[in-house]
Amino acid sequence: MPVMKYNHASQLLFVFVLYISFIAVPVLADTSVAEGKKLALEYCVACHQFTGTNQAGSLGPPLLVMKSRFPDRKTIYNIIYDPAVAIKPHTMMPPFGRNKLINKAEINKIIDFLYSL
Amino acid sequence: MNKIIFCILFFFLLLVSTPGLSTPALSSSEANAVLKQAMSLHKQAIANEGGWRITGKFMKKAKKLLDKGDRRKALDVAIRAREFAELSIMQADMEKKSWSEPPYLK
Amino acid sequence: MCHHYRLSILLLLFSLLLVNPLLYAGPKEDLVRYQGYFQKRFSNLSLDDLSNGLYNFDEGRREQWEAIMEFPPYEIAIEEGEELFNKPFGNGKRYADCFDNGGVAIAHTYPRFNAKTGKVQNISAVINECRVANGEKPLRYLKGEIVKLLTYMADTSRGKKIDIQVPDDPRALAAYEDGKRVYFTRRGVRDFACYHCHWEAAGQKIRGNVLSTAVGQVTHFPSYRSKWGAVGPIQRRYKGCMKNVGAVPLKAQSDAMNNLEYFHTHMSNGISMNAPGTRF
Ligand code: HEC
Ligand code: HEC
Repeated sequence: MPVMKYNHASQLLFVFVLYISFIAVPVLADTSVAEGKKLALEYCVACHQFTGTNQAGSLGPPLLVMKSRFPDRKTIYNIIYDPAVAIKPHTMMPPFGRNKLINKAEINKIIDFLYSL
Repeated sequence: MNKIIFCILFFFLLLVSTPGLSTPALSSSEANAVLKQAMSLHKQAIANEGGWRITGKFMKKAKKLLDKGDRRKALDVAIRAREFAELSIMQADMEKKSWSEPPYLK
Repeated sequence: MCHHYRLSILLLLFSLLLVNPLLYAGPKEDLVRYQGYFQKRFSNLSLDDLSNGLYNFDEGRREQWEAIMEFPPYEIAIEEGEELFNKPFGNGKRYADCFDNGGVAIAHTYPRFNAKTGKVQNISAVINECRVANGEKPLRYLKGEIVKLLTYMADTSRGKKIDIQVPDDPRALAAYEDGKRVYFTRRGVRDFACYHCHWEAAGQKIRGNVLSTAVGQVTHFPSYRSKWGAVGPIQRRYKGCMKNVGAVPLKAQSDAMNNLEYFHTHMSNGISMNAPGTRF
């Protein structure tokens, strides 16, 4: 086994990657979809149907095949953040992001969930 | 050896400096001050016919946390209460100026 | 030839645009627009039908409602209200002395604009004004004795068409317009105005609830609500909707609330009173 020679910089980099993974891992992938679903069930069912809802409202369109209809994450992000800007001024959909009901990370989890539909 | 110790120290330094993961000492006066601001803004919002109930909920939560001695969380929650109060005042001001009937009623 | 034709249409459209602000100038024109919206959208329902609210759209609930109406839960309140209404004050005067027509069959004309104060008054306000003028303590609003009085008085107007007047007085018009502002103002963290749920979404479901049409809503108030276990006036219902959207509700009997009631009742002008009624 050849002896590896680390220089100072790569050591720092290694530690940094370790650090990032330490804080980021719990938030990734599967858990994100599950948490997104929980959030959607809390904030969106009043008006939208999607897989896994019963007693959902019918005020907004059903959230179906989201990935093909909204290939750009940013579009959905903007809708959830402030539909009065992203959709139309008189929309009844609440501005979840603008009014700080849901934060950025949570919006992204919801999008992860919507993309799984 | 030195390097390993250095790395470990550096790692912890990073962790500790990550907001939310660290818990530096906080006096209760900080959360109290924010809470007071939130309360007065909330009152102003209500006087403007624009109070939000969520502001009150977060203020209550912050008070409870303070009573329990959880100052870090109390401050976070008080800050959110203040944000809601500010947003509610903005909404009331905006609406006074620019409320309108929806296009389908025109 | 063709060119001229187009030009004259353009001119016609242009002049219509100029006239438009005049067409939409006041409460009378609003009434045509507001009622017209629902008449067009629910052409199978008459204006009087609209006062059946959510039961127009939910068969199951309608059946339950009709079963409840076989023994209306508000009957006792009418009887108790009549007794209270006829009981003389300490000075020998009565409520009847404070209202037109002895207080009978007038509920469908309230709220009214009071030219003396320049403000809108609903029946509750007149009841308390009457009590104070006759040396009695005012009643608390929204619950209890005052609601029984309202219930009886409304019952004497059953079948009469709602008739809210906005007299030719700038203060009356200002009160009406202020009520409109309250109605169309977004409030609460969810940023809802009344119109979001009771116009475009009428007949649809928010969570499990079917939504009633804005026009026709006032006709059965005061109304018995299972949730309250009692009869309640319309301002109590307003407060409920405000709370539901996450707003700190406006104060009952405040100018804003009274103006809202004025505006909101006016849009049901011409629809038959059917109060007291019942709702879930
Ligand atoms: C109060 C009702 C309401 C709630 C709650 C609501 N929406 Fe909406 N949403 C609507 C309506 C209504 C529309 C249609 C656009 C319009 O008329 O404003 C819409 C449109 C959308 C669209 C565009 C859909 C399409 O097919 O064009 C997306 C995406 C969306 N909403 C996502 C969400 C998410 C995610 C949540 C929860 C965080 C949510 N909505 C909560 C009412 C609501
Ligand atoms: C988020 C949706 C929502 C908003 C916004 C809303 N309401 Fe309601 N409202 C409801 C629901 C749900 C009911 C119960 C079902 C029904 O009767 O429509 C209701 C019922 C009512 C009723 C009783 C109807 C009846 O037939 O007994 C009145 C009156 C009313 N609302 C007035 C208002 C006013 C005024 C506002 C604005 C301050 C308002 N609502 C805003 C959802 C809403």
